[in-house]
Amino acid sequence: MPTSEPRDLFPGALEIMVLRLLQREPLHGYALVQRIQQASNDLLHVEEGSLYPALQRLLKAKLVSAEWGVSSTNRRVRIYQITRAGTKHLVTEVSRFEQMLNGVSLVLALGGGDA
Amino acid sequence: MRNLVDLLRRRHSLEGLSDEIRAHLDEKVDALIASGMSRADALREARRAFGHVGRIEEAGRDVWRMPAFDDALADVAFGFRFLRRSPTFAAVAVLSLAIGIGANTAVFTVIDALLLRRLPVLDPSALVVFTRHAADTGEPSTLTFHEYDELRSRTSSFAGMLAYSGGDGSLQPGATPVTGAGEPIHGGRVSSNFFDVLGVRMAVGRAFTPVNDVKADPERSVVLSYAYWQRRFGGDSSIVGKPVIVFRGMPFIVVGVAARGFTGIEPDHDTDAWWPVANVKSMAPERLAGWNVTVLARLKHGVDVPHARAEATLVHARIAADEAIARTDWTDVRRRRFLAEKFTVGPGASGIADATRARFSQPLYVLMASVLAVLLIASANVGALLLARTTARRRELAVRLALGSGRPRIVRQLITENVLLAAIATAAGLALVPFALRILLSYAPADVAAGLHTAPDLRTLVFIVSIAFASAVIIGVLPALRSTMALERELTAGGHGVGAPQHRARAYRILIATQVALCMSLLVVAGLFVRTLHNLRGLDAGFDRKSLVLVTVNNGAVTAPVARQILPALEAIRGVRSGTFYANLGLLGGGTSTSDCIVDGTSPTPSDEVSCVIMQVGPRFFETTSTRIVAGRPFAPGDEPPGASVAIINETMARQYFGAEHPLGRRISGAEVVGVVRDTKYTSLRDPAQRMIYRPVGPGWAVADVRFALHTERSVAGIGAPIRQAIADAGVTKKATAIESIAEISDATLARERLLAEVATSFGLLALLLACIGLYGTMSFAVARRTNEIALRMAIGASRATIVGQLMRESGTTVVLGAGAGLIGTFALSRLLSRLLFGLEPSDPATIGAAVLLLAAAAAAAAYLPARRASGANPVAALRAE
Repeated sequence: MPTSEPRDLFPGALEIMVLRLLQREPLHGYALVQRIQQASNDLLHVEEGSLYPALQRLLKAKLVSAEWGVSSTNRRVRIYQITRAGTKHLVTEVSRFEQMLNGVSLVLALGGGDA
Repeated sequence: MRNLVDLLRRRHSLEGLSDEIRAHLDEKVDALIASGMSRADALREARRAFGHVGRIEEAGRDVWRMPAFDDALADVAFGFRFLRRSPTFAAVAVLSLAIGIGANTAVFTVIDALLLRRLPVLDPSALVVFTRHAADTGEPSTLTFHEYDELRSRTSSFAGMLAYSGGDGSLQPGATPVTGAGEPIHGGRVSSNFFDVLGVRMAVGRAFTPVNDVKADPERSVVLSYAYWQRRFGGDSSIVGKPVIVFRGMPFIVVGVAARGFTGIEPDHDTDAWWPVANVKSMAPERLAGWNVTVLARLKHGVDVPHARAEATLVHARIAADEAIARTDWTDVRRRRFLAEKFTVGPGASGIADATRARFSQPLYVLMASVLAVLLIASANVGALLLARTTARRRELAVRLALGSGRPRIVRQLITENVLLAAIATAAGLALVPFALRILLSYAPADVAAGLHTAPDLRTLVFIVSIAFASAVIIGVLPALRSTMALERELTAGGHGVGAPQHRARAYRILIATQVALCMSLLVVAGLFVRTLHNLRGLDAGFDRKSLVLVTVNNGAVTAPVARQILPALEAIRGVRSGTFYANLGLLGGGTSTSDCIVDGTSPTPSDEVSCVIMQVGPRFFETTSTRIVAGRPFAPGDEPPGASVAIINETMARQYFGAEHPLGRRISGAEVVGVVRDTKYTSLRDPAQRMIYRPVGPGWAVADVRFALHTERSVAGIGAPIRQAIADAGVTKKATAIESIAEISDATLARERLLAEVATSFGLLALLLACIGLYGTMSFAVARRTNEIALRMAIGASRATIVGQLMRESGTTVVLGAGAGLIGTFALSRLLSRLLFGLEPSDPATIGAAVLLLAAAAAAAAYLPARRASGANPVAALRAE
């Protein structure tokens, strides 16, 4: 299995990243994609389009809200903002994510008794 | 509710998703161009990085999906498209179901209003009603006030017992009597405890003070119904306690207004006012004792009906025995008949409407059965057509099944379509109900039609929902399950689309046979009723049923001198050949008056039947009514009592009393028989021949209503005004309250028969039409499906006639089986029917023969057309099409 290719995300990862980015400032879709790629040093492969269903999911769960505004390139775009519920959700998700990472690291640390 | 909020948010969120995506792509392209890419490359790269726009949008929509809700919406939309694509089918289906549902609802509404609805009183189920039944005919009659009084004081099972006597009268709002200012009302004479026993509250004022109705001199008081109070007094509560109603020339004090919604205890009449039964000027105690009243009683808490019945029956038997001994003037026969009468205790929860119920309850049940049959036919019909269509859609359904749509999903789709159809039909049917009700009620007497409460109640709603549901199940659910099951089997078995599986053909056959059976029954029943009406209309009533106009006159009692004063004025009207008068009894109206008639010089044995119908008549009665004199002479001037005592008897009486002997000159109860006339019908055309005796009106004669009979060729419309004028000019304070032709009156007595004949015929023909549509539709479909087979057989030499013959034989078997089942069903109903028929038996061969012929002709036509069309197909073209 080739390892050099960018990895697919596990379910829910995109949402967490979106929430984290929105926690800093309100952003529109394209800007969000840019930030994710910059922040992850292009290690993460995100199909740009997949951001939009994720945003709809967050809207439905009322974790973000949206308002129409104008982008820096003077286009009419929807600008997303994290809600109070979104902030709370992010905290729990991040701690769950870290727990999971810890768990995975512990298992991986057992080392290679390749048998 | 949450669904709805989500629906709104979804709309808001999804709106603009496409714009947002477009903006994203534009920004990306700009950025790529800025980094040095060509425009074409930038476009390609932006799209690649983004992914499939359509799929992304779909994924965005998916986020908001509410699967059950969205699927249902899609199904409904699909269903509408399906109906719109086949407008003829949709129209036939919706219209036939709508007529079925509308007619059912209307008939049930009337049944509910007349027979089922409970009185709006306290705990109606604890009420019972006492009735007396004649031993021989079972004819119900009321009790006397004396019996009521005795029952009340001598029983212990009842918490209360009331007496009631309803009737039409006239009241005058106002404090002083004004001649001729009375207006017709429906009133109730009641025992003073009436409202207490029923537990009806007063909207204003108080109920009657309970007193001993026999002994006490009751106050002249009246309780008004809420509706009358609103209508006449505008709901003015200051009238309570004041004498503002004039009844029989005397002021009555309005003591109270009954609670809104209480319209009395007669479901077929709205009562406007109640007053104590003893509260009538002429009501001497003896007269009150013999007054006919309906008796309602409320069971004591914890006492059951059998116990109460046992006690009341026992007590009543004792009361009757005392009465029979006390009446020394009675003959033994009369006494025995009186003692043989049956006393019954029945449920009183839905009030009293004996006359209307006796006349219409059976016809209503027959109608209910007929309209249910029509609905069943319509549903089966639509079901068969849908089944045919579903089968025609096999390719579409098979593709969807094969593509992985689950069978439940497809079944749900099909059911949605059918339920949609049923829902539209139900809505349309309910829109028809007011018209259907108007038609039905036009057969009832006007006062009954106005009195019945036909606003839908809970029971009606439950009924509507049930029949709508049942028809939806018949038309939709079963065919949907069947056809998809069959499809799935075919798919798994790798079946090819030629030829229908055997079991589906059987489903059609059963549907068609059921329709034909129901249709056959309806046609036979309709035929029987039509012939019954025909028999009664053509019946010789013994008097002239064409050129007679009857004028009812009252405004207080009418005496012989007053009648004699009016008569010449009426006879002077142009076009009136002769006129006469009589009490409002007989000639197909009013009640009957009977009396014991004994031939002088004989002493009848106790077992002899000696009662006869008596009619007191004015001058020229037989001439005016064209009643033929068989022997002797008509009444002549000078025959009137007290100067003379003469009588004229009818043929039945002459035959039964005198046999072969000559009746003229003999004396009956002191009166000399001077003539014999033909038998006439008295109160109804169904009357059996009965003994009748006519006497001239004497000077002491006084009746509540008098009827004048005028022999004239003029129409009621033409002669009405002159008649009113003549009475006004006669110098009496009387008015004509009704002017009717004898034809109208005899037709009114046939209301029940007309209702059955006309409505049953309409439904019979409708059923026939529906069954033919069903047969035609399924036959066309079956033939179309077998085009290949037919073409093949014609190609190898079968003649067109052979093909048509074979196809018709196949559906013929189904029709014959169905018709046979229908006839058997009719025989099963014959006992119920025979009581409604006249002059023929339920097995009347002519009627059955005609119905069979009609059905056979219609079915043959419906089957022949598709068969012929199929056999006309070009074999080569048909085979090539495969």
